[in-house]
Amino acid sequence: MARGAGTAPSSAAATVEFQHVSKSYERRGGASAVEDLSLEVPAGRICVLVGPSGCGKTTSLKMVNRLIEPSGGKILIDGVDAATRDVTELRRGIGYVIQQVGLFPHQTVSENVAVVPRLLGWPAARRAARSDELLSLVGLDPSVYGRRYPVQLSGGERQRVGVARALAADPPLMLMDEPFAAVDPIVRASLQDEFLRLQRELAKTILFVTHDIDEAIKMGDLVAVMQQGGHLAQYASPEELLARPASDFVARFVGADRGLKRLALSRIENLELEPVLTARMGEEAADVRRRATDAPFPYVLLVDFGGLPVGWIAADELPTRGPVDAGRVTPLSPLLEPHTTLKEAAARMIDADVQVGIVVDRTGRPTGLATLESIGQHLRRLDREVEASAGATARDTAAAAARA
Amino acid sequence: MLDWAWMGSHLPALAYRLSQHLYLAAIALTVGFLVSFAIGIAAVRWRRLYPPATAFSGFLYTIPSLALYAAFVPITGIRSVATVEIPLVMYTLVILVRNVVAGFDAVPADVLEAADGMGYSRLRRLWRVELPLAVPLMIAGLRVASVSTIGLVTITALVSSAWGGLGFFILEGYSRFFPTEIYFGAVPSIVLALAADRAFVWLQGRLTPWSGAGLLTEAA
Repeated sequence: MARGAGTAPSSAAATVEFQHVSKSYERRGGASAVEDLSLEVPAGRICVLVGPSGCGKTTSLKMVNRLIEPSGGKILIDGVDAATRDVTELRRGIGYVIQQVGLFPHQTVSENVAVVPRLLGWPAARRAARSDELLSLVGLDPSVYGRRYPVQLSGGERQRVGVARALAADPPLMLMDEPFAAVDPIVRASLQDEFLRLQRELAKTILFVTHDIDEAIKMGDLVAVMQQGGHLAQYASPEELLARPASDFVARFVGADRGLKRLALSRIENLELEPVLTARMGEEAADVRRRATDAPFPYVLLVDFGGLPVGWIAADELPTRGPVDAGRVTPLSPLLEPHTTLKEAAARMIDADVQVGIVVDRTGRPTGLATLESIGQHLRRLDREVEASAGATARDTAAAAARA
Repeated sequence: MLDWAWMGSHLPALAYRLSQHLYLAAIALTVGFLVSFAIGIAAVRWRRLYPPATAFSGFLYTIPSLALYAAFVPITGIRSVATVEIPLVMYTLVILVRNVVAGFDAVPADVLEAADGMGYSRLRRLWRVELPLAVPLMIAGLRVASVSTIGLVTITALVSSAWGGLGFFILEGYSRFFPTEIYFGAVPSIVLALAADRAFVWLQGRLTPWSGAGLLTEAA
């Protein structure tokens, strides 16, 4: 990657604050009305606006860069009312990514990426360098893609160029309107993953609109669930949203499988693992039997001379003497890595002969066992944490009310 | 059959009439395009102008060309270039107004939204985004208009023998029952129309490298 440090100093992320924002239409067209939306987006976070169609999420997003002008209320960006700023200047300082991408068909990929820098009057050499840098950043080789035209790109490649273009002038705020909705599910997942990886480096403030609750949970640091008329049904972290939906509407919207969805938010590394009992190939069976007698889990994991898992041996099928060998092994359970999500882990465990997951480190050696029960315990612990923080918030609110 | 000797002796006249033909067609296309472009820009700016603009240009097409020439003779005079050019220009408008407006209309909505969202001013968006993207349909209109105008120029021979371009030979050959002379006018006129068409195809390739079919195969 050609990430030239210093070619563009990273500007600080912006805060965004909706204050009693409303939008009404005399004649109802394509856009939905919004009534009295108040919402605060902290700097450097991804805030996802999610809701059914007609809930006003896109209208709310477009009021930030004033593609739609609010009828009432204020939107403050870094404390400054967006309505008071020159509209073209405001927009040049906000990255904008839309579902249909909207690349300029008559310009090359490089020129497309450099659109905002050109509007800002950057010299050609700086524009070209920035364009190359950003294409590399989104995983497109500038020497291959730079001179192509949009018509020559796949849907996923176009969307990457769209993201690169939005980042070109290093804006402190990005607006993304269903940015990954137009590509197939496999490409979408990889674009989401890559964007999250990028965001860990860039730490922009991002307002992200989607109608897909799974995408909202995956992408959001904070999720704002919106209801008809731009009514904010709940604004919380994905974990809290799933653990404690604030209303029937939110509960229905996040879906009956919200327990499973929560599993996607935690990883194996968050679990408390059960110990795993191993037997090395060729080890004296009697020694292994002795160790296995007190263990709660009735299987011993056979490992090869390098310490890598070979298969399970049922504890009561261990030979009484002689060396342990691979003659009687039951096929392995799934091997899980620390970054595997609990959702994937559970799915693979349910499918296996011995329903546990063998957690391995980077060298492939077992470090412990994940069980369905340990996953359940993890969820209950999270419940208590969410409960406690919600209780704390409620007490703060009550205390604040008492002071007032 | 064909009187080759007659043709040989009339080559200077052919050169004169060919250049006159080109001149009349070129003026009609240039003026017609400029007028259509202005109407097109206005129709993009004020959408309400779009239906009346196309309706008017469509109405023009229903007027018989012979009647149109006859109508202008008393006003502009038989010798005036305006007498032949005004009807020619009017007929180019039929095609060009529609195509210029359709060209702007064909610019994808997402491209316009992206341009607005990135901070293009209205004027800059028109010149840097909408105009280049309208070029393919504008050139498609110019191709059709050039072919039809080159054909129509022959009709101007009816106004006076001072006009007509290659149509002069066709009309004279017809009145003298002299097929050689008819071919002498008709064949170069056809060749001219075909050449104009190819020229616009070439121009489109130069102006819009981004839309060529060659690009798609190259990417595959």
